[in-house]
Amino acid sequence: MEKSLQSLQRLLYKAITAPEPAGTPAHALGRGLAASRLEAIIAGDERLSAAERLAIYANAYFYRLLECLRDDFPATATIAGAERFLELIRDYLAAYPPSHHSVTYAGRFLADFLCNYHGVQQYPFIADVARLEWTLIEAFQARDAVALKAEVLRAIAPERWPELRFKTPPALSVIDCRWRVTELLRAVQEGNEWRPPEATSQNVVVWRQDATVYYREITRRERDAFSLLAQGSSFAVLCERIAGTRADSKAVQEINRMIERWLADGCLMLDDGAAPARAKAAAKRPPDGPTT
Amino acid sequence: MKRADFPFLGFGVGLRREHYELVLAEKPAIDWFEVISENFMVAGGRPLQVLESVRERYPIVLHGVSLSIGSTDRLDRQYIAELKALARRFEPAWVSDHLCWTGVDGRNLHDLLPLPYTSTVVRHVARRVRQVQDILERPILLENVSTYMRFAESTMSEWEFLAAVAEQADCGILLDVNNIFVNAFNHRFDPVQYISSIPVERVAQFHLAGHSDHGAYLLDTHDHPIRPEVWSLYELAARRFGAVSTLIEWDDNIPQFSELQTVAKTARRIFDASSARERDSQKSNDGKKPAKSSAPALQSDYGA
Repeated sequence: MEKSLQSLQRLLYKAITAPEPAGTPAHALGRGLAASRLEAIIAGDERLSAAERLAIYANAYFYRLLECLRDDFPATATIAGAERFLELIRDYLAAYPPSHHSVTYAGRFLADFLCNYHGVQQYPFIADVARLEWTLIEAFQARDAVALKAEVLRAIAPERWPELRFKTPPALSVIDCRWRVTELLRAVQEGNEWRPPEATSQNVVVWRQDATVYYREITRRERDAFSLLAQGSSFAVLCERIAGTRADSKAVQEINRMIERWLADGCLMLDDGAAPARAKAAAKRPPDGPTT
Repeated sequence: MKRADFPFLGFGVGLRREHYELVLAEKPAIDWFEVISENFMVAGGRPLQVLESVRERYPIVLHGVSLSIGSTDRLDRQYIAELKALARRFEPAWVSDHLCWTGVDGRNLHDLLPLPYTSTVVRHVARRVRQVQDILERPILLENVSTYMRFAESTMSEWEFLAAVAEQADCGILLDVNNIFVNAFNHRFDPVQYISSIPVERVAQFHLAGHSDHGAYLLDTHDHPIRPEVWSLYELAARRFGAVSTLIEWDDNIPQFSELQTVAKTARRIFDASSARERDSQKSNDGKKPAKSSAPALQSDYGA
C-alpha cells in the first residue's frame, strides 16, 4: 500500500511544484500529466476539473512561498522589482525546493542561488544583499547567550587578562561582501530610495541584543579580531595580532575601543569552556601560519 | 486517549506576531492561546521570550503544521524530538497537528495535502500516530483539513476516514468547523451528517475561522469573519460534543485583538446557549416535546 500512496504523493508533489508559464489558465495546466490520467486520480466535477483543483494547490504552494520570501528578503525583492522577483523565486524554488520543516528556512540558499543567476545580471550586488538579509534572519532565531558585562570584565585581575579567552554569541556573524550593501539595506528598511552600492568590499557584523538584530560595517582589522575570537585565541594573542607591527599607543586605543564597543553591544562572551590544550595550541600558532 | 487528557480551556485565540506587544503589555482577558509549534521550534531569540511570558499567564496549546503524519517518508524523528523538547519546556495543555501529508522524499510543500480515504491509508496513518504518541509520551489531536481535491480511489467519506484514524490510532480530534463547511461546499456533502458522524468522545478541540468565496470553490484563508453558516454548524457541534475548548483562528488581514476577543465571546455565548438547549432537549426526551433548533436565528444574531 505504501508504495501506491508514495507514487501518488510523488506524482502530486511533481505536479504541484512544476513551474508553469505565468498567465496559463488553470484548466489548461497539464503539469506533466495527461488530462485523462489526472481525471483518473483526482475526481473532478462540472464546477472544477481535476486540473483546476490541482491548480489551487499549485498556486497556494508558489504564492505562499513567494510571500514568505518577500517578507524575509524585502531589499532583495525591492531591487529585483515585483515581476522579476516573482520570476527569480520561481527559478529559485525549482533549483532549491524547500526541505526544512519550517518555512523560515525556505530562503536559506537564495544568496547562493543569486550568485550565478542570469536573471539579475544588471544587479550584481543582489546576492550580497540577500546574504545580509538571510544573516539577519539567522541572528533573530539563534541560540540565546549571556553576553559579558563590562563590570564583570573589570572585576577580573589585570594579570589574568592575557590568558582570558573570549568568544562571540551564537547570534553574531561576520560576512564579507563584495559590494557596500549596508546603506542600500538601510535605505529600503527606512522606506527611502535606494541607490546601487559601490563595488568595493565591505565587512559587516550582524548581532542580536535584547532580541533586536543589528548590523554595521566594520574595519578589516575588526573583522580579523572577530575571526580570532571565533578561533578561541587568548586576549594576548588578540592584542598581538590586531596591533600587528604597530607597537604604539594607537594600536592599544583601537583594541580598547573595539572591546568597549563589543561590551556595550553584547558581542562578547567569556569562553570558560575552552579546552586548555587546544586553546594553548591555538595561542602558540604563529600569525598567519599554517594550521597543520 | 481519554477526554480527561484534554481539559476544557474555554475560548481562546491563535497567538500571532501582530499581537505580541499588546498581549505582553496589556495581558488581555482571553482564556487561552494556541501557538504554531514551528514558530517556536527555534534555538532562541524573541519568539521564545514572548512565549515564556505568555505561558506565565495563560494556558497554551501547541498546534503544528509539519508533522506530515500521512506522508510515506519516514517519520521525521528530529522534528518530533524538537517538538517534544518544546512541549517539555512550555507544558502545553496538549499538542495537535493535521490529518494530511506535507511533503515526500524529504521535500516540503508547506501545505496540508489530503489523503485518499481508504482503509489501507487509515492503517498507515494510525500506525504513525501511535509511534508519534509513544515518542511524545502523550496523546495528540489531529485536525480535519480543508481540501480542494479528493481522490478517485477513496472508498469512504471524509468523516468515516477521520473517525477511523482516531479510533485505530487512539488519538483525539481537533474538529475544524469551518473546514467542514468549506469541504462540504467543495465536495458537495452534508456538513450536518459529518458532525453527526464523528464520535463524541474523540473531539477535544474546535477551530473556528473565516474563509473566502471563489465562486466555484471556498478557500480556507483565515482572513475573514466567521460566516453565519459556520456559526450555525458550531452551534450544532457545541450541542453534540459538549464542553470542548474552542479556538478562533485568524492568520491574514489580522484584526485588532479586541475584535478577536469579541469573536471568542460570541463563541462562548453560542456554547452557553447550546448547552442550555441541550439540557432542555434532554429533559424533553423524558416525555416532552424536543426543543427546536435555533440555527436560523443564530445566522442573523452572529452573522455580522
